[in-house]
Parts: sequence; structure tokens; C-alpha cells
Amino acid sequence: MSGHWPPEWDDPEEEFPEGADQADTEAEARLSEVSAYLASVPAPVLPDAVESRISAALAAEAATRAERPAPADGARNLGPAPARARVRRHRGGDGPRRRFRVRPQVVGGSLLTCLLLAVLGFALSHASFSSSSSSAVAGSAAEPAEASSAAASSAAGAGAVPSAAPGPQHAGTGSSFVVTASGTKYQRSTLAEQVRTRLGADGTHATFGTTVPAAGATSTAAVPSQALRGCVLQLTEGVPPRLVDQATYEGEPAYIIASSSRVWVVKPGCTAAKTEVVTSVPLAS
Amino acid sequence: MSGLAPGEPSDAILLRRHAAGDTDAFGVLFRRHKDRLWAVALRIACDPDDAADALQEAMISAFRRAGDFRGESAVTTWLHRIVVNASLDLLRRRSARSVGWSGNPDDLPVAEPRQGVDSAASTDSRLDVDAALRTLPPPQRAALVLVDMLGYSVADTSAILGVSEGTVKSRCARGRAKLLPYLAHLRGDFPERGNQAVSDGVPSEQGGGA
Repeated sequence: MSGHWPPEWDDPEEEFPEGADQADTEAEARLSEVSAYLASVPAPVLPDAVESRISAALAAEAATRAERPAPADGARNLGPAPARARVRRHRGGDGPRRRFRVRPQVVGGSLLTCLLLAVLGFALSHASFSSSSSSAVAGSAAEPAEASSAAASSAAGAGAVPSAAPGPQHAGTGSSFVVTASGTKYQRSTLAEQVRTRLGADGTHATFGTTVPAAGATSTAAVPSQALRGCVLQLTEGVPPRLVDQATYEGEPAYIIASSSRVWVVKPGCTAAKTEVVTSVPLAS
Repeated sequence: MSGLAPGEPSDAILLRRHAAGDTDAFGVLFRRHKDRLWAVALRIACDPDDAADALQEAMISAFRRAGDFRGESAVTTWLHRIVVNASLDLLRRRSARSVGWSGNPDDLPVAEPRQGVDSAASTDSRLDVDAALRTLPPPQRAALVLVDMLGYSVADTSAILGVSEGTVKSRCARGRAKLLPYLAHLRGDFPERGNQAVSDGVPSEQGGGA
């Protein structure tokens, strides 16, 4: 472990010198008094606020892990089946597809034909407005859940655990967003307030879809890397973020990510597999 | 782990349940050890905000890595190791930013040894201890905190810090020697020889015999 430390942290004589135990009994007695005094100092108790914050972070982590595709290693399987059902409900995109799967079994063939034609017509018309989307019917909210299932199948087939790469599960344009670089110096004590200010400055629509920040915004916008994209969508559970801002947090380079209810601060190396969350706070309105 | 109520699952069982998908198990584990883990983070980081960040980072790391735990040490040792590493990592990042400390212990702003103070004031005493601990290089501080303040044995501390027992003894001895001038005015408060184990089931065996 010491090899990872700054050299100044290492003591020049690290190992306990032989015979030092009996070197100076008087000095030993004085040092033992220090030891005893330190032992008498009451141990601090974890403040409630910190406990709540960490419990919330763990709950968020549990929710995030529950969404991940089932790993090949059964020991780490955290019950993806119910979690996936919940995710689909949250994302709200499963309803229409399920309707179209079920109704053909209970209605006549003519009605089925009409429905399919209607869907096909809608899809074709929608596709004409979206040059790159391949799943226009499902819409932006439904896409991550569907793609996630495909990714899960892919990972299971390869016998691999999720890798550091974001994978294809968030590749659709329906959940795309842009990254601003405001240069804001975010601070721990004012994080939520600063994010609210940023949201007010750029407009809440600034990072949705493929739009760019509103006119007059002070930041520049860029398309996120695949790694960052996976990181963000992992944290927001596939929902497009309200804000992804490249800035500093407590003086350190960081990305500030905001959903409608929460703010995350992540390190620049954040990926879907390793989200590198520095801190997370609620975004109270 | 001793001190468990009848029927209460052990740490190892809780960790296994967590790895198997029990959504509540890790929370129980965290709440069981939160104060002790907090003490480690706070004493090493010497700052409540930094300690909170380090503890949160450590708990998330432990949450994710539970499946990697092989039972080669006690769960508490494993948790403490993660908290210590997170705290030292945080201090390393702070140190790299050169905030407040050059890295040379001699350059640290030190608490002046005080004369004639009311040594019975426990708050003052704690502040003195906190200030004194800040004068130690973080690895030395970590060893001293674990052995002297939290009552871990040298062997356990060695496992937590990932260094030899000799190194732990050395760090403790040097740390105590450095603290002596800063705590000398409290000598009237010094209890009898012998460490005082904290009350929540920590091993009472003490070490550091330097």
C-alpha cells in the first residue's frame, strides 16, 4: 500500500528497529501514556445527516445494480427479473408494444391487419423525421429497456460480465444528450443550488434529445463520449438527463449530472460499469 | 462477531445475502458498523466533510465488491480496509492539490503545546487530540487511530493497512513520539497504562507495544 503514497508520507525508517522495544523504558512509559490517552478519547458517532446521505447513496446504488443485466456469475445476480419489470414501468415504454402483441390473439384477423397497417404507417412517417433512429415506434423512453434486454442477451451469450464499455444498451438517439462545459466551480455546500442555477441558465430542455443549449447560454455543448454516455444513463436509469456539465467540483475536474430529482458528481473516467460517483445529492425544487 | 442477539445474522452471512441479491442485507451491515467506520474515516481524514465523502465512497465500493469477498479476513477487517483506503485516497488527492500541506510533516501547521490550560475541559482535549493527529503523516495517523484509538490489535491493523506488523508498531511508536509534545499538557488527564477498548464489540486485545 505504501508504494501508492506520495513519497513524503513514508517514514524514512519504516520498519520497527530490532531491540527498540527495550531501548528506553522511561520513554516507553511516556509513550504508553500517549497511547492510553488516545484510547480514552470517546469515539465519534456518525451524524444522522451523513448516515441518511450514505443510506440514500446505497439505495441508489441498489437500484442501479438491480437494473443491470444478469451477470454470468450467479453469485452476483441481484434479481434482475423483478427489477427489469420495474424499470420498464418507470420508463413507460412497454405498454404500446405489449398491446400490439396481445391483441392479435383476441381479435379477428381483419382488425389485426388494420392495426399493423396503422403501426407501419406511423412508423414510416415517424422515421422520415429521424434520420438515425431505428426504433421510432418505441420512443425515447422505451428504448433503453428494450436495448438493455438485447445487451443482456448478448452478454449472457458471450458468458461475460458487463465490461467497462457502455455497450449498446444506450446507443439510441432517443436518449441522447449533449454535454455542456460551463466551467462552473461547483462546491459541496451549494451543489444543488448551483445545478438549479445552471438549469435555469441553459433551460431544462438544453440536454434533451439532440438539441443544443438555449440561446444565450454561457456554456458550450458537445456530444458525449460513449463511456460518458453509458455512465450518465446508468445513473439516470436510462432517462435523458437534465444536465451534464463538464466542470470542477471542489476544485477537481468532474462531470455534474442532474436528473429531475437528483444530482451526481462523477469523476472524468466515469463509465457505465464504473460510475465513479464522488457524491450525490437530491435536487430539491 | 460477538455481541449479536440470538438469531441475528453474522456479518459474513449478511454479506453473502447481499451478494445473493438481498436488498436489505448491506444496509444492516452498514448500520451495524457505521459508528466505528465513521470514527476511522474521521480520524484519518481529520475533516467531517472529507470523512463523509470517504465513508460514502467506501461503502459504495464495498457494496459493489461484496461478491469479491473471499472470507480470508473478517468482514469488519475488510470494511475497515476499504474505509482506510478511501480516506487515504482522498487525502492523497488533497495532497496532490497542495491544499494546506506540502507533504512534509515538518511544514504542517502544528498546534502549539499549550501551558496552563484547563485540561479538564474535554472538548478542548479532543480538539487538542484532533490538532495533534493532523500533524502526523496519514499512514502513521491511520495506524495510531486503529491501534490506540479504536483498539485494534497490531495483527488486525496489519491486515487492515496491508503492511507488516513491524511497520504498524513502527508507525505507532513514531506517531506517539510526535504527539507527546502536543499532548503533554494533558498529562494530568492521562489514564492508567492500558488501552481502553471501545464498547461495540471491538477486539479488546491491544497492540502496538512500542
